[in-house]
This record gives sequence, structure tokens and C-alpha cells, in this order.
Amino acid sequence: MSSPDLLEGCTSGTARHMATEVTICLVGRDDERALSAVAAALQEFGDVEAACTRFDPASPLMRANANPSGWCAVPRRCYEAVSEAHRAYQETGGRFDPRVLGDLVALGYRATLPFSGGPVVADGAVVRRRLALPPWRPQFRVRAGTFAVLLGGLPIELGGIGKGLAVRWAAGLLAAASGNHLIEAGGDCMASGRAPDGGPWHVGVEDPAGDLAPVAVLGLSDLAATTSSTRVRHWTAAGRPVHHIVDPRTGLPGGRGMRSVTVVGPDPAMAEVWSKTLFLAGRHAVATQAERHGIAACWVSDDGVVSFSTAIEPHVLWRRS
Amino acid sequence: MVSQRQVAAARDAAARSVARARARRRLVPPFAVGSAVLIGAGAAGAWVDAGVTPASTATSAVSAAPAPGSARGATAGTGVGAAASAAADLARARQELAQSVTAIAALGALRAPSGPAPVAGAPVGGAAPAAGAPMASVPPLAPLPSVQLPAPAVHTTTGASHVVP
Repeated sequence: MSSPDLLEGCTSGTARHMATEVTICLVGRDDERALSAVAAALQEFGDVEAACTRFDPASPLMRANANPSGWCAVPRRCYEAVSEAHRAYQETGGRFDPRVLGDLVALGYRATLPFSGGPVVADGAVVRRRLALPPWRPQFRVRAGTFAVLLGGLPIELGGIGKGLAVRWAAGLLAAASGNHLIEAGGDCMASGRAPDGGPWHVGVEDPAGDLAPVAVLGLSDLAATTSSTRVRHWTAAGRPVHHIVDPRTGLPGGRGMRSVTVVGPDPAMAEVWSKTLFLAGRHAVATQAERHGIAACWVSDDGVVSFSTAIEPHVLWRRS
Repeated sequence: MVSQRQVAAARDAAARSVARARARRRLVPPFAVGSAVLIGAGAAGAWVDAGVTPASTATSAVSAAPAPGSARGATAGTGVGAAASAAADLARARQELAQSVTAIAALGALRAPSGPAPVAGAPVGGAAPAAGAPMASVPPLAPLPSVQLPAPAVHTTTGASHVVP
């Protein structure tokens, strides 16, 4: 829960995209240029959603998914999103893999579910472990300003990186107007420059148990913070509790013993990727993975214990004792 | 001839010394001393030595008056007996003080088990309780409650993606 007083002096805008509310705050300007920058940044979320959503069968991504073994012309944003997803796949050694669309559909998450309306039960769901996927080798082509992708045989979903990409691109549009701005999109944040008081932006880390008080407060400047959490997107499938963070190795919800992972980093898209990757590492391996890759992260396990990696410590302003 | 007045004065002095020692024990609660830092044998011994006039000194003090030791007939005999009685009183007082110091040192050992075992002050006459003798247990202090400072105000929060219908 943010304090509105802290955002005095900002040019702000809010819009609804990607089934969430996106808020942008630009510091120090109150003119047409600032308003235009905020509007353009908000529109960026809409453009990314339109190009990359899996909930619209007519979206460019879903048209490509309809023929995953053939070439498909897509808009630039969709092309870039698939390309970034493949880069994330390579950087995480395959631990991030967007080829889980079929698994989500099998678990009952084939359309937007009413997560905000209480317990959700998905009809016709199948909870079954599958074999590991083969290596992902998509192909990309640019000819005369047109973009095309070949997905490599299996449909993909970009929920694990799409919002972070939108935040990245929106931040780029805002930077031309002001180096001091804050973007918050459904839990993904990008804190650029300085807050209105001249200090770092204060970003609270949500308690996945639902407590209003945060588990930690971070001081960020030119850094993104992204959280993967099962607090909202969970439902019952075939009588079993499941959530949306699917382990690409098994096709089943992963992250044993985890409630949430928050990653801090310079790029919001890779912060989102690593938040999911660390979540899937599970309670007993998350610390090792975070330290090995030098990830600034904090996480909450299912017993409520909050832990911090070494790299995030310089950014921790407060933590719950 | 020994002055009866001098003998009485010596006796009074010894009695006062004993009374002071007894009062000192009453006025110093064991737990308060137990929680203080006890330096061990040297300090304990020094405290015993400082607080109690040694028998030899007492004898000498008694003797400082016109010597009762000089035989003066019956009066002289009375003076010697009084001095010996005072010396015995002093010895008993010294022993009691030593025992108290030993007990207090043991109490300190109970509260600081990792430290060196306290060495009892040198007992004067009679046996003193061995160091580490069982003492009444001191209940552990309750831990101080931790104080959680409130979280600073935030500009925004990162967490689960809020679903907007």
C-alpha cells in the first residue's frame, strides 16, 4: 500500500492493461510533454498486450501458436517478445521456458479466471506430470521491415516475461521526458532516478500471506523489482490446489515450499524471469541459486520465513523482524 | 595492673567488629552480590582481610593497652581471658565472613558457568564450604522483548499481480 503524499509533485497516469492496473508517476514535470510521455508509456502496455496475449485467439502470438512449426508474420513487439523469451531461456539454462501454454490449459487456466472473486475451481482440468521438453530452438526472420517467427514446434505463452518487457519499453519512453519516474504494473515495478524527495524510491515487498504490512522495504534507484507469488493466481484443478507458476520440466506447478520471490535488477524483464526461475528452484535451492547467479532477491517460504540474498542487502531499508 | 576499663574497651571493640560483620552479611542480598562481578580469591580474601581485624592484630590491639599480658594478679588474669575471648570472637567472625564470600563466589559461578571457577577466600580457622557447593538456583532473567520499528512509507509495492476484472 503506497502513500499518496510521497508522490506529490508527480505527473501520474493510470490505465488497465494485462488484467491489472498500471500506474506511472513522472517526477518534476507538469506540462504537455510529461502528459504525453505518460500516455505513451501507458499505451505501450496496451500494445504489448494486444500483440502477445494468449487470451485472444486472434492475437499475433496465438496465430503463431496455431502453427508452431511454421513461419508466421508478427508485429515487431511480438517478434521482440519471443526473441527476448528465447534469450531468457538461454540465460537461465532452460529453467525459464515459455513452452508451458499446453500445461496451463490442461490445468484449467485456458481463459482468464476470476481470481479476485474468491476460490476458483477449474472444470475439466487434468493434473498430470509430463516428460521434459526437448531443447527450444525458435527461428527469427526480418525482411524488408517485416518480422516473422517460427516457434519451434510447441505453442508458447509469454506471461512470465511479457509484463516485464512492457515495463522496460514504457520506461524507455518516459526517460525522454524525465529520468525520474516510477512504473507499477500489477506488482512489477521500475524505479528510475530519484523519488520526489530526492532519495531512492521506496518499494514495499508484499506479504504473500495477505498482511497489509510489507515484509521488507527496498530503496531503489534505476532498478526494477518484480515478484512471483501464488497469493492471487491459484485455483483447484481436479481436486488439487494448483497455481500458475508451472515448472517447464514437469508441466506441473512448481516451487515447493515457496510463497513468493522478489528480484531486483536493472532490467524489469529479466527481473521477472529470475523471479519465476528462483521460485521454481524451491525452498531448499533458492538461496543457492540466487547466490550462484548473483541475483538480488528476497523470498518468503511457506512457513513465513523471509530470506534475503547477499546482493539485495544494500537495497534493504527495513525488514520485518 | 591491667585497667578494667581498658579490657572492657577491648572487649567492646571486638564485639563491635563482630556486629559489623554480621550486619554486613544481612545488608548485602545474595542475589545482588551474585549479579555483580566477583573478582575471585584475591578480592575475596582482601575483603575478608580488610573487614576483619586479624586475631593477631586484635590481640595486638588488646595488647596495645597497657599490656594485659603483664601479670598483675587477678586483674591481669581477667584481662588475658577477655583478650582471648575477643580474639575467638574475631576468629569466628572472620570464618563467617569467609564462608559468606565463598557462597557469594559460588553464586557468581552459577551465573557465569563458562568462566573460571571462583576460588574461595582463604578461610580463617575452621572449614569453609567447597567452591561450587550447591546453592539456591537463580531464575534466569527473561529476555528483553525486541522492538520492531515501523516500516517506512513506500511509494509502491511489489507483489502478486492484482487481477482487475
